[in-house]
Amino acid sequence: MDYHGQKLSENLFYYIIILFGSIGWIYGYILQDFTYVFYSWSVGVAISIVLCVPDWPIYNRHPIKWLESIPDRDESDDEGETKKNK
Amino acid sequence: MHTVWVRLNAVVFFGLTVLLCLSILAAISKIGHASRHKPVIHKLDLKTLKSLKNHGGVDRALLSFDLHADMNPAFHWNIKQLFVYVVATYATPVNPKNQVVLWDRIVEATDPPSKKVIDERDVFVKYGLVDQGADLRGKEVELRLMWDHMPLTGALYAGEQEAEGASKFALPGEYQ
Repeated sequence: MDYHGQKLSENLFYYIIILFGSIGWIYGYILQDFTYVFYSWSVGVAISIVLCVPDWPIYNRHPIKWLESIPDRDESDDEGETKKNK
Repeated sequence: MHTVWVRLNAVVFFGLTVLLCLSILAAISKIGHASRHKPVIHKLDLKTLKSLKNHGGVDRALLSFDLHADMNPAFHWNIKQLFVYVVATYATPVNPKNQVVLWDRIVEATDPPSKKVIDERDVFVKYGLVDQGADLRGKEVELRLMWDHMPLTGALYAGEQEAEGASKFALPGEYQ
């Protein structure tokens, strides 16, 4: 998962869990039953796990641009002496 | 957030933190409920005194009582169960205030509203009225209903019947 993907994944599960939790809380408050809070919360966590944990393609749209490898890099000495191979 | 395991850990523990906050908010939402909604104690009276005897220097009275109490108003979404008990209070020269539990019952939030009303006649005591000494004869005993609220989130807190509504009876002057 690239950096943009990680950020997207994290924001997504923050919003999902808080949203499901809050809606469940309001419904539970009206009905005076905490069970609704718990069920709504667990649905939110389940959805978040499916959406945010696996390495889905949407999370790999900004792959890290690595630098080009430097060509012909042998184990040369620090002094810069060139080795003459046989 | 760089491996599946790190992300799974993040989601699960964030979820648990949110659940903790929701639980605490639910508890806060019900502060003051107990003072506004009180169970209705219709009746708590002595029915019959079966015996008042002395065993090994210790007095014990066995009796039955009538109880009719509606515990529904005490319940709200942060209550798991109520621990309801009948208390007998009396005074002796040795101990100015004695409180003895005669009977108890657990009333759960998952019980139907009809089961949250305790309506029983001629209930025999679960635990005898036992004195620390031999001072029960002729004493006036007050019967009072008390209960503990056991919340889902938060500390246990007590509730009790109004003092004015509590019934009293006198124990006989002689053993019987």
